[in-house]
Amino acid sequence: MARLVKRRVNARPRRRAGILARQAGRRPGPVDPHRRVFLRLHVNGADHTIAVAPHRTLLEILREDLGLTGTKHGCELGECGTCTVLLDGIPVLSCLALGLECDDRPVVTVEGLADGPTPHPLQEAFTELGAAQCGYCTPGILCAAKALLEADPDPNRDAIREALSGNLCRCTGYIKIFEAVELAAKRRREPRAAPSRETLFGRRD
Amino acid sequence: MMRLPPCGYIAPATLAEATAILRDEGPEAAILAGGTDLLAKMKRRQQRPSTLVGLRRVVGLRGVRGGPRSGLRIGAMTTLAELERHEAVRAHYPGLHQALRSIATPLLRNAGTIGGNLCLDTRCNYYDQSFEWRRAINFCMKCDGDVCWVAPGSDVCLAVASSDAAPVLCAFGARLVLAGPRGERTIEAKDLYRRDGIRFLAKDPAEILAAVLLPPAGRLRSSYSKLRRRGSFDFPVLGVAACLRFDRDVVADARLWLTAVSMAPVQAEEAERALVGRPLTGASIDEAAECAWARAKPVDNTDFTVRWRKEMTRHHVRQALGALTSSVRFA
Amino acid sequence: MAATRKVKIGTARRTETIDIRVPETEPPIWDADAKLTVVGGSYPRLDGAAKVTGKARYTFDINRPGMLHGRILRSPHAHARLLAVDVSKAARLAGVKATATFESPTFFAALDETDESGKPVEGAGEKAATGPRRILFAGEEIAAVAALTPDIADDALDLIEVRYEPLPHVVDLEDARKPDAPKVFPDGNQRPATVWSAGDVEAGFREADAVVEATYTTPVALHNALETHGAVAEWQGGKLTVWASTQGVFGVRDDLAKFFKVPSRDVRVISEYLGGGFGAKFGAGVTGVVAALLAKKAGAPVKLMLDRQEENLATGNRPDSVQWLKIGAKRNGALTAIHLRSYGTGGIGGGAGVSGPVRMIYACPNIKTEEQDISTNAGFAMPFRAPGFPQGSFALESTLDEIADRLGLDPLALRKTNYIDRPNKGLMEQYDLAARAIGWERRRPPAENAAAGPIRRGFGMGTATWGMYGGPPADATVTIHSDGRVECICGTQDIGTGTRTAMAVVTAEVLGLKPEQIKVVLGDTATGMYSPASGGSVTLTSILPAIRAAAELARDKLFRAVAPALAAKPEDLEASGGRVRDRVGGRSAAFTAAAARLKSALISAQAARADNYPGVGIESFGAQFAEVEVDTGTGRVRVLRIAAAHDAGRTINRLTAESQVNGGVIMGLSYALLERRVMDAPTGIVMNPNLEDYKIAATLEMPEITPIMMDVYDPANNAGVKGLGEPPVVPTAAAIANAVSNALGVRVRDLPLTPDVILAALARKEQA
Repeated sequence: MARLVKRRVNARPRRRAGILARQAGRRPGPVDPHRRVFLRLHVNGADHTIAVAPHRTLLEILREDLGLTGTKHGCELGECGTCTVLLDGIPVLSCLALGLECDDRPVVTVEGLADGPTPHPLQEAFTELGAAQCGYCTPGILCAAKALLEADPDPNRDAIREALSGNLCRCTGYIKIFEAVELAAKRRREPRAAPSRETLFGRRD
Repeated sequence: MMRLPPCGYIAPATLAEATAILRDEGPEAAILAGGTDLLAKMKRRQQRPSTLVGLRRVVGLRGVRGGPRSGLRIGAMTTLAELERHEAVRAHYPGLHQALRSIATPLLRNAGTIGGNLCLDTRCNYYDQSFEWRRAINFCMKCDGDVCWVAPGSDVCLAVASSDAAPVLCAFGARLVLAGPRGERTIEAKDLYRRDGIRFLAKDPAEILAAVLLPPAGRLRSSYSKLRRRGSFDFPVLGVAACLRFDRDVVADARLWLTAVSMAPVQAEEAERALVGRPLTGASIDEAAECAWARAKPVDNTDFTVRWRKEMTRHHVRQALGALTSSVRFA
Repeated sequence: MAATRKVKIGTARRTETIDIRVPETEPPIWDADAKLTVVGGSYPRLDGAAKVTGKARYTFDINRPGMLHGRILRSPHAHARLLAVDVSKAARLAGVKATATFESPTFFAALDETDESGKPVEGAGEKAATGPRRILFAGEEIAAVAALTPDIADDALDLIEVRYEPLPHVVDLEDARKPDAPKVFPDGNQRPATVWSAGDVEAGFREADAVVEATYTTPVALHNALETHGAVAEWQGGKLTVWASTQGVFGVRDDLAKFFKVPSRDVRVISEYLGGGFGAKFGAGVTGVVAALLAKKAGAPVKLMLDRQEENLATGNRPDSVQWLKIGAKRNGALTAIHLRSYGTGGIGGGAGVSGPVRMIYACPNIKTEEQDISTNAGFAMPFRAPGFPQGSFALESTLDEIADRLGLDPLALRKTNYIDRPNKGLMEQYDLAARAIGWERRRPPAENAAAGPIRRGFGMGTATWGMYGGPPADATVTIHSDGRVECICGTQDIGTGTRTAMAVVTAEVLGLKPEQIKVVLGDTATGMYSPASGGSVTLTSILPAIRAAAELARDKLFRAVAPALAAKPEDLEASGGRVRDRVGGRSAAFTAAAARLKSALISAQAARADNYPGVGIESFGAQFAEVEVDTGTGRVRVLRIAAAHDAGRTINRLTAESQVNGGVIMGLSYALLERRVMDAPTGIVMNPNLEDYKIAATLEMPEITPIMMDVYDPANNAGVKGLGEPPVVPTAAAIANAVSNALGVRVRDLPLTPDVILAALARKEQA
């Protein structure tokens, strides 16, 4: 079925899907599959109002409508974790989130992890320890790890494993990722904490 | 790219609105809770609802009320992760806690809801496949076809119940609140399920699972043991939920439920009887495991071989019950 | 012109000096005596910041003005004649801008001839055929569309009408060997065997005190890089620019140039960031060609990225194997003969050979290998990290452990007995390092482990080897700007391993700078600086010597420019610690100040990779030891620890090298315990073309890994570097399987080691 090309609409929305039901009288009909509706997204602190068809996922909207390509396609079925973003501060899979369900809720992607020019401690630690190898799974893992550190500032290795158990990585063997999360956590307490010698140089006898 | 098929969407604000919409839209509408299972199935074209009725904005469906003494009322839209972190669940309903922690991945639990997990679509090797393969076998009874390929003579679909939470709630004797166009009703958790892989929920399509009522924790001791290939991601190939009530050190009441062995959660009644009226010991556990093993008749439509899955019933019953032995001496 | 140079080879434990003949133009070789200050350190990736902020743009992320979205329609039939394809309805759909059909049997012929991907000639022997195209596996490309949005492209596929004449197919390896099996190719399914032999195996077996023979099987594995295959193609006039998720930009360029009959200078291929490859991303492939074809037809850029399902149907795999192996040994463990007979299927492709480990690792006077490819109606094989080696290693190391058990020898001692000694080899030290790290002395015979109760522990090991020289052509340019900026330019691609950073490390070593001061330009054929594809562990071995030579030439030019100012002779100058220093006079200048002395805006030097030096080794080695726990109640295996000692000649960047080892280990673990492509024989369709049913190890499957990188001085090139891409994945499955066998006293000869299979093996043992 043909649909119109989606385009960015900057005008103030006439109506929004989320409040549609309440505005349109006692019992409104659902949004037509082939009509676009306005959606307000708060992404990385910026507001966007865009017109989208109801079946578009958050992943597609971020990448195709907002040009935020930091969030990656991996499997698009919830089987790999590559498309993880923070929705209401919680890491979820953007491939399985309907855009309209994210109306008016804060979304943070990898592009929004830094505090202005200051990188998030996780971003620094991942860079420093080589936790981003090919880097394709990294944005999703960073989002999952950020939520972990907010819930548990001092996670042990098992807690890190568990928190990242929905994110596949095919390159690193996960070890550098665990070490980077540990270093970032440590730096929140001791900003000058350095990675262990073994972490950097391995074991040399 | 895996894209969703076009569909309508509506986000009602009240249960009454939601049920009215479901009634008017008919079976073409689907309830959207966390979306983690439904949207993936839509992408694979296993399900093609014309309209998604999102429950996100319905007031009062999210959150946990009550406590271990009075029992818990859990809103159906409470996410699995929220529930997993809930202190009363962790401390007083450990079986539920363990089941929740074992579901899919943390990312999926952040979006998936308890209501969604309880209403989780049944699964089958002939159904959870690519569109191309399903078409190549002329589809199956559950979706677009006529035959159940698991047992071609069967007139009922044999897809298996795959919720991790369902067997635990059945074992707890939890009750469920269903809201329909004609008001609310409360049923036993076990009565939500039917032994039919297609019409696996004994509720009207316009009814919405609104809340889960957990009984007071009292002297209930519970556990859950799950079989799957990996430590995360995978659906259960077998799940054993145990909930025992002790009177001093004697088992006064025992509930043992299995998931992923049939179209609905299965109660292992012989195994329960083997436990009641005596202390929980290695011998009674072995006896219960033996009964459950005899009762388990997995069909060949999930991961792993049937033979091994049946064999594992013993082990996981032992695991689930063994986890409760440490709490025997509490009286 | 060749010169003789004295080179000190060996390891930290022992060295010796030898003479080797090298081209006169080669810089001094970084041998055991080289005092290097940057190389061998531990450096974060230069592109780390781009990767953690989402700024790194992968092919999937490329968007061009007016870009369309492409989709491919694939055959649902495993074997069929393609009678008709009608795209007229799809073409009329609003938003569809181009369609293409691939009905002609020779449509992809130009690609088949040139494709580096290893995809065989489609319908081999049918090249000149007329009439309908024969579809050889479910997932083959039938038609394609380009549309304004991905959704429209999806919808358009549904409107394409195709008529097939289904033919009988065969997808199972054993079925395909039967005489009455449907023929994948006109000449049958059994390809000619490859036979290799040394000595006389029958004589060897007669000498043996113990002979063990057994049959092993391994499954088909899927690469599943997290970024799928795909390309963005854009024509401007007759010139084509393609962003491709590829391990070889130059290979893609040449494929496309041939296919579209344009000079290769008119094709530019860019791959700045790549979400993994593991061997499946060589050449333009059908995906690259179709993207460019649609772009040409539509007159607009086209993005064509595959989805996960397509990725797992039609972009490559590691073939399965059935290996019959017979090994004889003397009482002391010395091998007398090895005989391997194997076959496997790479679908419609080849590459099922597994004999590398048997031929390369252990000393044995009599070896015979017979390998055969079997054709099936399944997606074609592609090189998959150490092609053939993980399979071969599993069977070989398992059988060696059986010999050791039979003779009552320690498995490690048996390996040492059959060690091929060379001064320029560190394997003996790697055995000791990894054995110590795992605590090998804790290994007990299976009978003692059995006393431990239902949960048993076991230890196992295996040896890694890989031998690829790399070599010319590989070109590089190093440019020093008068403001002190330095660029290192090579067209090569960074598949994730850290190529970019290694290039900077070598340049920085020569110029006395820090790696982060070097700007690296790569992933672009427009640089003109050729590099081989990143496969077979040849990237660094090929490009770093060229980069080093170019950096030295550029440095020498700088020295000549700055020498007068320092009142020094250019040959007395050295660059280190960010300064240019006169070794004789002692005066020095900061590197930037020296650069400012240049009388031009920049100086630039280009150099080419020399041939590999004769008379030195080329293999890199490694040893991996595993400790596992097996639950005899369930058959479940938990890998507790893996110690992996490896070398890549001289280690360039310890941080990325280690990660490479860790990554190889987890891939090997995943192969040992979980991964297996499942084909449905009746329909010929892949049953698990996704990441839920094709199981890849996640964080909770991870053991503790101890990666140990050692330096081995064995220079086949001026940088003394060897490959590390493949070796770490070679022995992991073997080490785990041996550990499981040690724990249980039962040998499981089929991968993956799933709990049901292990429990069945235990049950058989009890019956026996």
